[in-house]
Amino acid sequence: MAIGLLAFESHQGLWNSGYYSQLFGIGGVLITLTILMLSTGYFGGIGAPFAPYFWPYLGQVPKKRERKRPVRVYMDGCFDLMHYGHANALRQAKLLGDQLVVGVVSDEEIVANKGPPVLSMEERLTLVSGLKWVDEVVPNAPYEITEEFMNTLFNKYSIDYIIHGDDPCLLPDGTDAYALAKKVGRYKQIKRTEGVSSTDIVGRILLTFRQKDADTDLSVVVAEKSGEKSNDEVKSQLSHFLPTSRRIMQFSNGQAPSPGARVVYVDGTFDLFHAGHVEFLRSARQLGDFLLVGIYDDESIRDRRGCRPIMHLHERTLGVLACRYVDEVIIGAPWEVSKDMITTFNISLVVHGTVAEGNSAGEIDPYAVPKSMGIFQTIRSPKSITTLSVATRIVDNHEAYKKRNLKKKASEDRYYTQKKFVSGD
Amino acid sequence: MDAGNGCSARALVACVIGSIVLGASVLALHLAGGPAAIPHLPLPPLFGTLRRRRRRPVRVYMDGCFDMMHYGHCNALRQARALGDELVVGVISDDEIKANKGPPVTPLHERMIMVRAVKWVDDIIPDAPYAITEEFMNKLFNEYNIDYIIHGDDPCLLPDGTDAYALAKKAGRYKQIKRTEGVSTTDIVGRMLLCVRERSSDAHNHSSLQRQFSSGHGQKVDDTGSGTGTRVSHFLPTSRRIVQFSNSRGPGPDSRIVYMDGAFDLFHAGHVEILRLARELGDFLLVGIHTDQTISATRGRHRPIMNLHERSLSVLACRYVDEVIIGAPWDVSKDMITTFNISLVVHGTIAENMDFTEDDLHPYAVPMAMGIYRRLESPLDITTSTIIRRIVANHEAYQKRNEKKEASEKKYYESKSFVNGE
Repeated sequence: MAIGLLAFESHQGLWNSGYYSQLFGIGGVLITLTILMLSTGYFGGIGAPFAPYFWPYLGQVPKKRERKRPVRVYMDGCFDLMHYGHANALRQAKLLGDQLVVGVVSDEEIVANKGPPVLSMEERLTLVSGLKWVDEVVPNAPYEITEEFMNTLFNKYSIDYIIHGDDPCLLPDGTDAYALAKKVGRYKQIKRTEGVSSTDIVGRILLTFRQKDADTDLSVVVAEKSGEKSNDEVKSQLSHFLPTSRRIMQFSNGQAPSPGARVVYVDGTFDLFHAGHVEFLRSARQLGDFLLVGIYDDESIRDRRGCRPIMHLHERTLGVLACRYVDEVIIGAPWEVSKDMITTFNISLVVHGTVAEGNSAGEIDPYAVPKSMGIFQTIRSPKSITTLSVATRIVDNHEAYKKRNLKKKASEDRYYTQKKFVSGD
Repeated sequence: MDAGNGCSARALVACVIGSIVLGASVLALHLAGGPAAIPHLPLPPLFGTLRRRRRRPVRVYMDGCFDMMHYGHCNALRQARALGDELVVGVISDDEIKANKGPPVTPLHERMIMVRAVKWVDDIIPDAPYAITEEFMNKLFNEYNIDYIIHGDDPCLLPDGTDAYALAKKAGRYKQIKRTEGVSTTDIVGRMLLCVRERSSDAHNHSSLQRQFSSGHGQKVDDTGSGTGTRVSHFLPTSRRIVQFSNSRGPGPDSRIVYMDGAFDLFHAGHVEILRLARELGDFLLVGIHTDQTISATRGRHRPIMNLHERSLSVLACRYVDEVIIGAPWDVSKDMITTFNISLVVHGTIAENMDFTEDDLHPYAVPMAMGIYRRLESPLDITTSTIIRRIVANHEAYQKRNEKKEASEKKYYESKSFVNGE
């Protein structure tokens, strides 16, 4: 009785507060229920098993949800000749925070530090913005993160961490480009994607055009510019990309089209994934709910165009998969769009662009079936960029690129010689 | 007096418990910052417990011959499993297959090994009948606690032309899944029969078999072969399919990663057993699958029978495999070992092309030098050539079976419409 009285006295303040009057009533009801359970034989059997449910619940008292600010991470790069290595780096950076801000280095800074870029700033911005994991883009980012720019990142852009791969990034004077960020403890590292770099891709292009048949116009241009230096192989192929099932899984969104979804199908080579590809895919995606992209295999392309693509099937697959407008890809799609394929994937519309490298004359129309079904549509390509135009820029500046590649190759050799396993996705 | 004391004690306990509960409520409200804490009273856990205890897992049944197991079979089993909680698979006996379809290529015990190795299989019924009789159906429902019988959207007819699943449909215990496009045992057997014919006629055909069949737009097969190589549809690998077949987890920080490579063409029981042994040597099994070009260069232009993606999905479906490298290089380089943090490289004693006599051509020179190479005793002496020889030995029977199946396939594809499914 005394203890009961004390209980009432200790909570007397609650009784005076209107807010807690209901609560006190609930407490009283609980006390009454408990008394009934314990004092009568009929409720006694239920009371025993009922009691333990009070105790475990105490440990589960819900905590007040803090108002959390998203962790923002920053990663910069030239992103010239965007490839799946870039995409994979940005994917990893996003995993280290909630929002990813990407700095795209300006044309002038690239020229000063690396050599002439192949893609313009506008094109590189389009490519970076088109990636699945990018939330915000900072144009004209400096190559070196000065103290002034770092403070801009921390204060104006609310950046928490600056991210870079495990390969060193040196300035022309040999110092570490991220020394400042490391010093203040705002630097995090990700694993460099093995077997791919812009240098390697440029090297393949230079090698490809040297090997082309002499009767093509482009080959003549290459021959004139390169002279007789066919022995100067500047292709750096220390390692090559090894596509795993896990990597494809990471790049995919894993969603199926919902029932009744309008599935749009586009196909192509998608070699040297460029801004023209991005804009075309964005336009195609707007025509439906689900964008399925067919990517030709290497053999099909060689049979029809006489030369292999610069990048092989899986490299091109991951490049397309990284684009935010793409839902799913067919790895090694057939040239002809058949009725069976349309049925299998429930395709509502087959789309083709106006700016695309054509196949040789006399070929069977690969879109004959969708045309006869009335589900074929041509859309105007937003940009007049093709893989050939991108490759031509490289050929036009092949001397500068060759010089750049030789310099980069030395750095690559050094990296691979000292390479160790870095854990990470 | 005693009665009085008892009554007082009970009241005391009641007051204490009541006070604690009251205090807990106050604390909960304070922390939650609102009356929303009231629904957090202990009643929901009680109901949750009751609900969870009453639920029995949904068991589904799917049967098949599973002769020359391929990724289409695996994909069907994956879909069946998605329709329930546990998947029971009936493997039809050798005699039933012979009576209904023709001679099987793989005997029952090998087919059992293959089915058991698939990730999504929980239980196996050996010697299942081809037709589900009323007696067997009741046995499934009562003895095996099966809730639903599963089959693909292509019709399965008995020799007398009736539907093999009519009984289950009538009882309302049948569910349908989507047939995996572009692959069937008939097609795979057809590729090998064409291989036999080409080899016997010594035709100088440059295009490889898999390119003809898998790409679907190679040169047409000559009509003199009575169309055994005809292909109505072909497999189109998608990123989503690879996602579905893959494990979602990568290796742990200190995982011991075992690497094994090969062609894994016509995925068979020998492959399953060697992968099982390899997996036991570590925590994570990474499997490298060679490209079509690599295999053609080392084993002849008629190999591989299946293309890179077909082979990749078959290996991925195996429960002992954690990850695959699609298009692994022939040589195991130091860079590859570093990139994937490989602890051990293994190879089976029973394998094709075991004659790398010259050291500089040895694909395992680097792991050998690093001391991380090991040979494994292959549990089964089956190779892809073994499977092919079985078909060649009975090629007349298989050709006849293929012609019969082809007519059925053609009919299916002509009337095919879109089927929702994974």
